[in-house]
Amino acid sequence: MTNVLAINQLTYKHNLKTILNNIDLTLETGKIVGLLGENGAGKTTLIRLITGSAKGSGTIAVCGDSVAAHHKSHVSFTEQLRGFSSSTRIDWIAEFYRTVYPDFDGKRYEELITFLQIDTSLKLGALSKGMKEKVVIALTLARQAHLYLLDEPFSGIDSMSRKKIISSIIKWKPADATMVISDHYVSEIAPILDEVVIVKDQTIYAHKPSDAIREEFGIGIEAYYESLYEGGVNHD
Amino acid sequence: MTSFGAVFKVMSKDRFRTTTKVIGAEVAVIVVSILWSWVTGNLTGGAFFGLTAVWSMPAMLAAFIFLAVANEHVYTRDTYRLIPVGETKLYSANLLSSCVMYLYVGVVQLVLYFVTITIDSDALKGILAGMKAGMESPNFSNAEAAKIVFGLLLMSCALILMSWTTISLVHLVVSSTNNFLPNVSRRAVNVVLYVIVIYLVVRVAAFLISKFNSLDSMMSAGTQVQFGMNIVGILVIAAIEIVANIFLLKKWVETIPN
Amino acid sequence: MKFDDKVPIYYQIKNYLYHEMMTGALKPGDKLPAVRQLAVDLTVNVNTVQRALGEMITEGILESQRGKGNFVTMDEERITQLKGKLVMEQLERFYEQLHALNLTDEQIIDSLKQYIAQRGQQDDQRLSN
Repeated sequence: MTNVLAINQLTYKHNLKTILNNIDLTLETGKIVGLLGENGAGKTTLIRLITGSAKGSGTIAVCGDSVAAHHKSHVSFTEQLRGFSSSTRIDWIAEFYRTVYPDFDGKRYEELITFLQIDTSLKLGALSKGMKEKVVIALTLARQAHLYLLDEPFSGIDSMSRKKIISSIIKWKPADATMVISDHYVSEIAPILDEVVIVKDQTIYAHKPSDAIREEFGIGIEAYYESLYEGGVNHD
Repeated sequence: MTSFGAVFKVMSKDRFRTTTKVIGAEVAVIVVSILWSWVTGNLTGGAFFGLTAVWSMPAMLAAFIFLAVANEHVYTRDTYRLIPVGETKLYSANLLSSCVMYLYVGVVQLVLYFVTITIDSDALKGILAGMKAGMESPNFSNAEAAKIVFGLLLMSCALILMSWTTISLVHLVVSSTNNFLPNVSRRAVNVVLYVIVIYLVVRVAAFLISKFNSLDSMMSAGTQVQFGMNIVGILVIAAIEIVANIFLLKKWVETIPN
Repeated sequence: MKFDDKVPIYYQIKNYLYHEMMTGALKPGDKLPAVRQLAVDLTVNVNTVQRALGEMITEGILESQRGKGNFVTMDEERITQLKGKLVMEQLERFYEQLHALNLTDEQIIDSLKQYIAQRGQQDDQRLSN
């Protein structure tokens, strides 16, 4: 299997405070990976470093390419549409994506919009939190990228929207693409994860296949994750 | 990779909307002013052009500010920074888009002037004749008047460009230092920067005032060369700032987190 | 489908499909839904479904036909074997749990007989009501 992401000795400081220290992480093609950790542990920072939105030291190679500017064409990130004013219609935003991303697939987008029941004539400012997240997911998955980065796609979202989003992830993730989903609440996504990466103490504290955790320790992903904070499970 | 044209297109579409709103507001205000003058019975000859000229200034200023804001948004929003283009392309598309949209606002102003001058032509002739008589020494030929107007336009364009690049430079320096300085030194840097900016604004304003005061003497060959040199100087400063801005974007400037 | 987070998901998918076969929801020769559809239906990862199906193909319970999909085996004997295996697994768990309560083999058999008799009466009552 080939690697979609290879991070080497990545360090990131903000205001002289170390957020991530000397991180190594390799992700294979075709996986769904849970990026877990407490709020403020550095999950979002790690994702931002991969997209190039934050600048650290060390090397990050996406699809074997370590030039930050090139990552952008391989990576599809759940950007929160901050560049648009609240009076912007969803149609307009989709047109923006279509123009700017060569890998934006209009047909996939239409399918996603139908599946997630999004009314595209609405304005950005009129959307509920759940609806906005659905729009963001539709735009993110409509691109044919190699690496999808979903930053806390379920925070503050009702359970129906959550189920829809999880289904659309399973349905539309290309087989040869890898998807990273960050969350601090594990149980809802545990069944769809191939692997979990846990960010703790400024580093990648653990990186394991989820079924290996279940087999090795006989506990669930959530229990395992919590045990790391209590120091309950001995692990190498 | 996304083409320069695509980036330019999405940026301009958004700015076209904003600037058109500004123009709409301007026209509405002009119409209301004219109606008001008519109702109160103060609609004198030349009022159409006069009111348009008066309201044209704040409209140009508003467009300038809105476009500056749009410019700066691009640097710190993932919506734009994640577009698969290099920083140089992103920066140039951004600046060019604002320039073109400002040009659009400017051309609309000229059209407004032209229309209102045509309406007011009789009254204005008298006023212009009076103005000409009022000016003492130089009697401008038409060619010379055109030269002055062209020179001033060029100067305005250069100044607007430099204002935008300066605003960006300050913004990007603040944004860069924010990432690696602790809070206390950050505030110090910000204060120093604001002082520099205020100083620059005062200097430019003073320069402008002196220029307009010496309009009369602009026709002598020596001052023309000097005027041209000033424009080149401004453009050189803008170019240096552009290079610095792109460097900052590449190296340090991060976007606002989600 | 609701999963137990403590047990490997691929294992639970296999059990789910076995169960479908035992109840007759999936009959010998039936075609299984496409992998991605199965993943969507069960809300699990495509890779995990593939792993579960892969193991079932190795066991001979499923037959993969190139370009057509996966089918439940027509080999009745295999299915009978599978049923036997599943019954033994359930009994094993049941036996170990009762054994852990310090019951002897005879006591286990007696309790089971008693339970079945009781259960039969209850069910009869329920039917007559």
